[in-house]
Amino acid sequence: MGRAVIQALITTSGDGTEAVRPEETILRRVLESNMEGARRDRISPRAFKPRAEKDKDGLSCFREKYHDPASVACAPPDFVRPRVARLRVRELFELKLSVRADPFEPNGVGHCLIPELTSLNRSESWAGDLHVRLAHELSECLGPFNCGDEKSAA
Amino acid sequence: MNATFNQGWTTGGRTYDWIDPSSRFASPQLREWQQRERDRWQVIVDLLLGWRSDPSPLLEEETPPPEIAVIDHALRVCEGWQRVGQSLPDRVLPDGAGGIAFEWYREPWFSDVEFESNGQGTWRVYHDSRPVDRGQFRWKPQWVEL
Repeated sequence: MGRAVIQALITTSGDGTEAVRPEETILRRVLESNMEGARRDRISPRAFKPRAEKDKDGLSCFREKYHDPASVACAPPDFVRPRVARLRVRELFELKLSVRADPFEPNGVGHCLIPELTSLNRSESWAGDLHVRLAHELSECLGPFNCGDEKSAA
Repeated sequence: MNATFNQGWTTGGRTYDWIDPSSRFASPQLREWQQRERDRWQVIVDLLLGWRSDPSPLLEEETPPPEIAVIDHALRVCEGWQRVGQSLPDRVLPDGAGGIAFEWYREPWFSDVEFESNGQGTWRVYHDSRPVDRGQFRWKPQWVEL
């Protein structure tokens, strides 16, 4: 399949319920506390650790075909110097992870979940190994974003 | 004669000093290095004490702050590590469920230690993002009702 065709498939507008395709990229917000310290160039694996209560259905991400990185980083806007991790869906599939469209409130169109990583298994050793691979091998780190001016990224 | 003053802490938040008598034999370069190490440890201690006294910055980014018992334990651990010359962690951060994690990045190695709020502890070692070794421990005594 040609690159133009792939790009066309990716950019086809939808209501966010269509299946997430391997050619897509997804974005996950990375908080300052997961970046600060002596190695600001490395994302902590804990950026991919589901929260204890709020991620029961899966790890929350956003499809880049619907959201630009700055809007993901700055929603809500009062976060300090957030970054965004960009992940290629194909590489997630190769890890036997799936990405499920979840365009429902409160997150809306473009939201998606990695359902294998949840609040329930956040402390399992196999899940921890995946958090490390997602952070150190598969993530492209974008930002930090100045949420006072969403367009500017350092 | 020079003596090295190290700052310690107590669970009540007060600080105390102790004197390291061996420092009188250290070269100026070594003393300078020791001072830099102490300064870097102090940054970590200040971070932990900051979470203890005012967790609002964490709450603002929707991160559950570490529990006070975990912070106090982490402070004791830091003091012990500093005394035995443990290499400084590159990052100290909340685990998102009331615990605290310490991370070391020594490419291609990565290792971490996590103190969970339920009294469990975990340590892990990775090489090129692949698990090499791991273990669990309890950092909080379990009280048994008799």
